[in-house]
Amino acid sequence: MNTSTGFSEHQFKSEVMIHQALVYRLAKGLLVSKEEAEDVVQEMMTRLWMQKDSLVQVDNKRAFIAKMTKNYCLDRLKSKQAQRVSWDTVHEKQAIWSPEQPMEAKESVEMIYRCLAQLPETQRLLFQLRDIEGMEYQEIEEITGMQPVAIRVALSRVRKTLKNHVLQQNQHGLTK
Amino acid sequence: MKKIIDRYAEGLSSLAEEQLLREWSAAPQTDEPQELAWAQLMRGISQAKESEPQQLWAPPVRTIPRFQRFKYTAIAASVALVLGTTVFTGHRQYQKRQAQIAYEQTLAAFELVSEQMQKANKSIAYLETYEQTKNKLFK
Repeated sequence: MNTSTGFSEHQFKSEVMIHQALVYRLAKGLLVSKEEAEDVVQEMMTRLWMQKDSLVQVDNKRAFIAKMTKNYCLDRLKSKQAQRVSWDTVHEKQAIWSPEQPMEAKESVEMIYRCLAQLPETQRLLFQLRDIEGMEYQEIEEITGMQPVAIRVALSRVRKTLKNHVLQQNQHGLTK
Repeated sequence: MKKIIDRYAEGLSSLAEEQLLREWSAAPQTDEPQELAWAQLMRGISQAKESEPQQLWAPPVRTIPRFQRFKYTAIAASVALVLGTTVFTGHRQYQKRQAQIAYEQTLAAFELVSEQMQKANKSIAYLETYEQTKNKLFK
């Protein structure tokens, strides 16, 4: 554990601000909205900046930030402020993927998020942490407070669900 | 690759194995629909990993308040003022003390003169008596 008392602006940039993309992806996966995810990035970074002196005591900044983002997003989902929208609505409103991305990849990502939006929050969170952010199980335990076996079981379920969704979409495309 | 896919599906794969799967998915050498579906999922994950916010947060620009900008000037001015007042007051007190001493010395001098004048008066009175006596005797 770090015992020094301050947390400089330079340290904040190199140890906290580098996780903005993590916050964004996590929020986007949980809130199913690009605009809300952008808001969450600003909100989380401001909060972290305000409490930057206490961050010096945090060993794993990435896990800490992910946990904070998860809690904030889940609160936001529960509150009236969070007007949860379906993936289709989001898709209609926003150009989430840039046109220069390959069409097939773009469709795959859209398909993943469309399917994820239908899944329970815990499964969405686990998929984001492990498959998108590439976190170790120990880190995921720290963030979610779940047992390793429960994490693996839930991950297995969400992966199979997503794969079956892709398979169905492909078969549907072939028979169309 | 089939074994790794199975391990991934069961939530038993390591991060290194998952990386292998993503690399494989770029050009999967298979016609099997299940494996192709896994490959497509992996490609989607690879793309999702690159997603970033359009607007990055930046720390607030530190604006120094006006009074802080001139803090050191204000401190220096205050010190100069205090020192100046102290020196000036000290100087005035010194002058006052010198005047007091001069006054006391003048007073002492006057007292001395006065004392001498009184002695002289006594001598004059004595001379007058002497003159009268002389006139009586030698008339």
